[in-house]
Amino acid sequence: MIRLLDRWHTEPLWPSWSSLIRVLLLAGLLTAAGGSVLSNLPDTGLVSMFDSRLSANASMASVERARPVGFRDVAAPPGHVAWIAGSSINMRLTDQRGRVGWRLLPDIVASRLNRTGMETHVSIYLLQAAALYETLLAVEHARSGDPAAIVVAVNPWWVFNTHAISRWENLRAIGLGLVPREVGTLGLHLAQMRPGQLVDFGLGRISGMPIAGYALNLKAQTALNRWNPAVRQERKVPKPIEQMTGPDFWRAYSGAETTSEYFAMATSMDEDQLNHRILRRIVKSLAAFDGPAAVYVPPLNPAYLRKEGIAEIAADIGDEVERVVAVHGDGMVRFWDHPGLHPPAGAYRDHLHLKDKGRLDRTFAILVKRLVLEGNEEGR
Amino acid sequence: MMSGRFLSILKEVLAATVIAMVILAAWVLSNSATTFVYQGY
Repeated sequence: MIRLLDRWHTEPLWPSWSSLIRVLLLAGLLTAAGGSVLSNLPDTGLVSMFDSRLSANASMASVERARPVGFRDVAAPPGHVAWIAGSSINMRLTDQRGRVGWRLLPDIVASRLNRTGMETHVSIYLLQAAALYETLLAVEHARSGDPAAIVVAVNPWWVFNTHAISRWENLRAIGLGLVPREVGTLGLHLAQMRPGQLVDFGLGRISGMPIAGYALNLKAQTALNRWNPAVRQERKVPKPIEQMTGPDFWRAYSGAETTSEYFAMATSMDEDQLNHRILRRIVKSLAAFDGPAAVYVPPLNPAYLRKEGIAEIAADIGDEVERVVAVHGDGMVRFWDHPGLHPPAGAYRDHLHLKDKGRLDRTFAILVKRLVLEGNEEGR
Repeated sequence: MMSGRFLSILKEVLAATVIAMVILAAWVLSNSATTFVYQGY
């Protein structure tokens, strides 16, 4: 044994090519074997958190952040309602016993409709930071699942700015990990991909393993950032201008005189703007869907609008989305705006998210019911 | 001679195991640590 260990150090340092190949092959085999065991571990991610609390009337098609290689297979029955939103549907509600918990608006709406005798199942797409490109992919995916109706929320935060895809580290380019259903979108898809993403995307699809670039998780990042003086410093100063979403930018610069080209670009509603093109594509895809569809803009906190003086821009966004729906929806896509969809300032936790559902679920229940019934009448 | 061959095989297996373990550890970490962190938007 001693002699063996002695020789351990005297073996040649440089491996041969054949040895390297053997090592890599064996490492691949061991990873695959270990992976097949580990893949059965319970996922503790965002989707599971909501999944376990959903009623029987809702299911989640949302992507999982650790495995953003496609939407989850939906167990939704035919005739379900596909609800494509983002974080605006995440509500932090207090129940009658004073317990606070996360709930999803579509789930509450579906439960309500079921209680009133209309059998409804919703399939929920995208839970956070749904930039327009991710929304488009979700619309295309939802259409293939034979829903009775599709409801799309266009978050004013993500429309008409330079963020076609989510740019957060932990959500980065989720949209690019998904496969477009339509050929026209595939071109847009490949055009946005960087070479590294193509490799990640391919490897992720083949192996089913989480994609390195996406799997960066917030906890690990936060832990690492704690010791990173550069990040600590960065937190004290506003975000770089290029990384701001539209309203971030408005909040920082509203009222300021600026001739910044970025400002013009970030807040432009120009038809050539990428997000405008994607929005048109979403609406056209909904118009081509052989069922009823509706688009709405989740309202921002009125207190936030007053304080920041950005009500006009937010209103302009709503108007522009409505215009796009009217022009490109071929009369098939509804635009929902209703007094009941505008909760009072006190119902908000922040600029967008709610802590009190108020009459929102009732209003949405009426709108969804009408949408589905109209679709049935039209035989679409 | 025999022991030298054995050692080189052992080293290869060891190297492969370390590589596989690093990949799998990164995977488990990234899967298990994705707690919902509310960020707004």
